Amino acid sequence: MDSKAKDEDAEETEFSPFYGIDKGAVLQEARCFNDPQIDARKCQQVITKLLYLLGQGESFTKKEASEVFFSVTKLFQSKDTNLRRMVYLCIKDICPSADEVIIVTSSLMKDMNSKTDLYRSNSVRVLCKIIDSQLLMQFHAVALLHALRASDRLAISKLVTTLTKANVKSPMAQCLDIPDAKESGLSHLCEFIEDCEFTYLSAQILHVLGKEGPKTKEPSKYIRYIYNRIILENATVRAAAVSSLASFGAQVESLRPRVVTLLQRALLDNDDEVRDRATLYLAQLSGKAGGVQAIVGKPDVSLEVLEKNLQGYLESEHTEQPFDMVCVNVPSVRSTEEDSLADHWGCIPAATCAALAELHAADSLEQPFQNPLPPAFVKVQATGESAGNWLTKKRCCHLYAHECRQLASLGNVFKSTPPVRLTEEDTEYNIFCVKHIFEEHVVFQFDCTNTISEQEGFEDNGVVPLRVMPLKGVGHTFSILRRAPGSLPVGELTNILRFTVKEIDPSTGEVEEEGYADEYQLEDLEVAAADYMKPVMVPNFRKAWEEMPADFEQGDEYGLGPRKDLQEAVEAVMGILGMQACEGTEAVPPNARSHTVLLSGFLVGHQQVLVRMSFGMDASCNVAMKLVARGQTQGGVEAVHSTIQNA
Amino acid sequence: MIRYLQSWLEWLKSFFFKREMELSLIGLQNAGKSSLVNVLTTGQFQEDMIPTVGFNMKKVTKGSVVIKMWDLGGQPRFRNLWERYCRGVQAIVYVVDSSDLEGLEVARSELLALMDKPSLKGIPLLVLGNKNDMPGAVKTQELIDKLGLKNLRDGREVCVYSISCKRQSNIDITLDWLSRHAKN
Repeated sequence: MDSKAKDEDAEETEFSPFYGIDKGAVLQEARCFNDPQIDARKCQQVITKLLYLLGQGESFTKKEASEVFFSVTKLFQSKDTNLRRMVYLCIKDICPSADEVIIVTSSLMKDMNSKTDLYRSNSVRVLCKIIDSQLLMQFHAVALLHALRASDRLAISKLVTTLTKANVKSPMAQCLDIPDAKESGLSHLCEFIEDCEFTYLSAQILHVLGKEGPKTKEPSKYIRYIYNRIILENATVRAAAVSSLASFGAQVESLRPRVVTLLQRALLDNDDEVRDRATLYLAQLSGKAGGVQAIVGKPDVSLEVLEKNLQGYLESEHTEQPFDMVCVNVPSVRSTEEDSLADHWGCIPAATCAALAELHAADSLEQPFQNPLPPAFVKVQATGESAGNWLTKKRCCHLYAHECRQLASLGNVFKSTPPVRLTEEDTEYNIFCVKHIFEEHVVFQFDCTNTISEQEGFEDNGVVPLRVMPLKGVGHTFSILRRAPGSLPVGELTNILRFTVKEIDPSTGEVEEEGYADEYQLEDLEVAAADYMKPVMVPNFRKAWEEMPADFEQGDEYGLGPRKDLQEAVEAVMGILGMQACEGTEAVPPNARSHTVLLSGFLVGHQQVLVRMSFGMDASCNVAMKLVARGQTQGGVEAVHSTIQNA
Repeated sequence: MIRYLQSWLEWLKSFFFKREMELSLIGLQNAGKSSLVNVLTTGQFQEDMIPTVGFNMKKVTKGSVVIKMWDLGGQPRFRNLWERYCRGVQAIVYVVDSSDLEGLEVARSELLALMDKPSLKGIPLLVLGNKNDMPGAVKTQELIDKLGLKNLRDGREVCVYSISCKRQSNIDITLDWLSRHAKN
């Protein structure tokens, strides 16, 4: 506890006990680890300070880190259990290099055999963290033997996972992972289900056999194993075996007659699911009910999209028409995990097609954007020509699919931003915009809703981004802009919604031929530098930083002017960069006068970028920042700096 | 009775006049460092020892002296870490296998490299030619020559003993030498 700090400012209530500690001073204090007589209490305090500094993102040079590490190892001589715990924490956090860390191996092994639970569990945990494959060969067998005796199950499972290096989920997954071993793996699985007592597992294995077996050199050898399931197992497994068998019949023509014979026997099964499956597959194998393709062919749609569309279909009033699968035959553009785009695109306008509207994003950023696509697609002109006929749901879906293909040609989505509202609430039209960043393009997706129930019947002419503007539902329109290669333009875009209003005759419900063009001014939309950055966490920043070649390192200092506190400054800079804070460094301890933030992210077209920002505040609350960036490309590093400079 | 009283007095005295010393045991793998620690601490010799991966720390009380020993692994990858555990000790004990003639050359260069470190300047060095029970083991004088120990005597105390952990020969004089170097 730093009492000096308390005296300085008695009004402040919250204090970090480590307020104002200095790395140099702590490193100096750490020399006490080398004393002939260990003062366990003092050493614990020093380690706590070291851990605090590490937690704050303070960087230790390689020399400093190894100095601390070797000093800490000397504390193994102390029998103080609390100190030992801190030693383990420290070793884990310092993450010494592989050639150094081996020095504690013997000490860890000894602790793994200790009678003290605390030693055992902690040592196994540290071992997991520091172990590498080079070390592994030498003693993993011994380590495992010891570890299995330890009482800490979690630590053991962690160790085993580390030892196998890959996160092996099941023997089945392992078999699938190794193509060379596939055939022998499948044979093992066949043997395995002979006496497997787990219904779920058996069913899964039968599925895998049905999928992979027909592609092997000798598919016939699996038939017997699978058919045995139909004779011997419970109904669930029998049903799975029937499906598996049918898959062989569908894919291997030479086996088909035998499979048909075997399936016929399942027609007399006392379980209805088994009988139903057998009946269906027999029909399909004889060319009916969709034929053999129906057995092997899997629907080429995202199930999520299908589900949403079916829901929309059921809610709509047009159920007298059959559901059209074309609606969901959207090429999958889902490329990144957090890709909200596919979900948005999946929301095909429901059948309550009340209006068609067309958006025109009049860009005020003509310069940096180039226009590679047919002009009609990018800049939609509201021409006077009227299509006149009411677009059916089917028609919209077709158009929709068509445009998705156009968008798919842009490549994978790098990042999609959260929707931004472009209209005020409670207005006639609700418009939201989502920005999709592609390798060379920015796509603006406008989600449009008509809120005026009297005003039905908007329609527009047949240009490409034609969109339904449904009453209460959501319709989408897209505007695509291309960026000059490598450039990351920013600025404000002016948006105008242009559309044609068409009256519907209240008595007949028919849409009148003539409509009138209208415009609707939307809020401006900002394209910010952060839009081009995808925040991606790295688990160990220091390691990532050191492994990133320093060829493209660039550092600079910036004055951020007076700020309320460092947290505010940190949040402002993070908001500009749009990167992911690592290791909890985004939180500034209360009243801190200096702080380091570690950021990581992927910049479109420039791969990974890492940033280390050190903030300092002077007596008059002026904040200065030193920013050092490393990246896989020069451009990425420069982009980070120019983002700050232009902000 | 008097003898008991005397030893009891010794024991009592050791509380008040306890001296500490810290030393590092280094040398190539299989030289017998961990065996020596065992013999010094338990008085027992163990034939099959597992190679030391990293280090072991043992304490032994000899009379009024507590000796803290850092027993370091001798495999090549540990050798550049020796220096870290030799800083600030009262004595460096360098154990060699005196029956392994081929290994002596490596033992010499490793020792010279270590003694060259400025951080270890002036720390007394005790060289122990272990395994003198083995046929073909070199004698003390030969060891001095082969290890080039004469070159090391600049500003540093160097002493050589020929010992056998297995036979427990010359372990006593080794202990004596160590306790003489304890801090007061």
